[in-house]
Amino acid sequence: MLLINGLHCACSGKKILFDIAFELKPGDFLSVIGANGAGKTTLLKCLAGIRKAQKGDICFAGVNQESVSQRIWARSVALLPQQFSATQGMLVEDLVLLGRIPFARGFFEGEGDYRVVRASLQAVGMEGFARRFLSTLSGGELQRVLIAKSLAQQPQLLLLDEPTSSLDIKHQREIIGMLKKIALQDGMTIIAAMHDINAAIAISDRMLLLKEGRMLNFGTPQAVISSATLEALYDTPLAVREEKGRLVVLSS
Amino acid sequence: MFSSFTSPKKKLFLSLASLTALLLFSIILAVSLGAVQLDLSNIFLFFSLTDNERNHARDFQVLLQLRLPRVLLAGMVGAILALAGAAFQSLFRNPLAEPYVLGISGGAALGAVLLIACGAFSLGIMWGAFAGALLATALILIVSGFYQGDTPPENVILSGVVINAFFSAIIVFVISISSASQVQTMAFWLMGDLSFVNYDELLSLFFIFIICGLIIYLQARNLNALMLGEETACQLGISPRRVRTIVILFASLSIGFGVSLSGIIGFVGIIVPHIVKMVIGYDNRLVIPASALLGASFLILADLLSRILLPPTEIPIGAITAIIGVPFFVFLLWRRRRRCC
Repeated sequence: MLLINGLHCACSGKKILFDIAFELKPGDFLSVIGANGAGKTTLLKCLAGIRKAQKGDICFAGVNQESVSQRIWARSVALLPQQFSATQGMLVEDLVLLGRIPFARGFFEGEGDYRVVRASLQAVGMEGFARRFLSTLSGGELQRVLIAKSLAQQPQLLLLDEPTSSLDIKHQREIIGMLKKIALQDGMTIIAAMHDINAAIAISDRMLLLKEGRMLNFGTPQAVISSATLEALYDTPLAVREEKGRLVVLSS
Repeated sequence: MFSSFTSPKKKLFLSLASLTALLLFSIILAVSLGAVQLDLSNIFLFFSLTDNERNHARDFQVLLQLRLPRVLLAGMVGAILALAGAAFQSLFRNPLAEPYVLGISGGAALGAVLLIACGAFSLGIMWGAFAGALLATALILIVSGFYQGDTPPENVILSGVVINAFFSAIIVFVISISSASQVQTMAFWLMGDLSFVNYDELLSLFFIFIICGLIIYLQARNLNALMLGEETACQLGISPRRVRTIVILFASLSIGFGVSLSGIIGFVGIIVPHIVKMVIGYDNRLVIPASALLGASFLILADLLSRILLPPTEIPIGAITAIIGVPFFVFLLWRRRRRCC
């Protein structure tokens, strides 16, 4: 279980997050939505441990983030950042193997690490791509490989920063479907910062609406999504319809 | 069907074995050829001679007093520059990063030139070169803002180019106010020369290279993670600041001492790691040792060319590496631009 309590975070003296508090069960999929600069990425970085909170607690599976080293925290929490800077000449297998660093005992990986890498590539449908160079992959394939790298950390909490933002609609659907499958199969808690509200509604068990670093709302999509809340969130009118039992957001 | 993984250990063994063979071949070739041709089969017979007989054996003298120290210096300096180039390229996430382009070799030369102007000798000059290399690196990091987090990789190179130009200007200024004899010594730093070295200096350099090389090599896996960006590395439990400090400090130390004996030799740190990466990939656990071995062979063979191309004139080794390196540098820029487009 993930428990966030009274989380405050600042960057270069500027306060970014204010009093964030929520909890998630294992297997929950949470989408974080909000305008640019709302603090979505900062929240993920705080949860991943790469940005230290000013105040508040982050506990996952009964472990307080403050009480363990980053290396130990990375054995259960993985972050897929929005920006990726790996060299194009790298092999897919080399990239995915980097996910095993928090578990490293010696200078080289063992057979167990390779088994995990194979399983991670299989989970994202990229098992035949291990020896391919990153430069030969399409945007959708690269995103799958990056997710495989995060899965190689064997996380119980997977943090994704706009995982579909650079993909076309077909690949967005594929990636979202795959993530949902992983969350269901492995009981992995997933938190994704998303810009596509409709995709977020379709995939999420819970949604967190962030505005200027503060929680505007938190709950199931049905409970938190309405024209009024979305207008308050984005400062622009948005219409919400229900079609075939599902909420759909339209630009009005 | 899942493709099989190639174990890095196996790749490391294969690459090191073949590159060691190449290094041995380069050493044998370089000590044999030159103004005086040496027959190495005779050289081995010299080990059965008495000291008095050895003192009168011309080939043995040429080997021990001229060729071998020069070849060993070329090998160690080549290994240092290539190793540092490989580490810097991962650390700064820039394929063009290397000690010469970044101005670190220039900083070392400035430190040495300043101490020569102050009348310092061998060890003092070595420490001066180290301090200069460290100063250059510190300035690059400050100017580019690298220590403040994720910096565009181009900033590091641009800062290096500017700082290099600044150091060159100071060197020219120091030369202009120095005596004729000091200028002659200083000229050595700027052109690269492997002919003045003794075994004590070689031994010091060897220990510095081994210690610094091992310390940098132990960061190889962390450097792999840093290629993905600082935040990703940090998330994996690696401290980018710690890795940067270790790599920069020990690379500067080895470059400073290496350059203090060889003068400025450019482009080794860019050519060699790229050739290695084209063949064995980007894993620094393989790239760093393979670059060191190939760098040693490369500079030994470049020095051989400098001695035998226009006898009896010796072409400055810096000119040989630049003639090979500049087109290679342009090729890398072209390839990068093609990939971007």
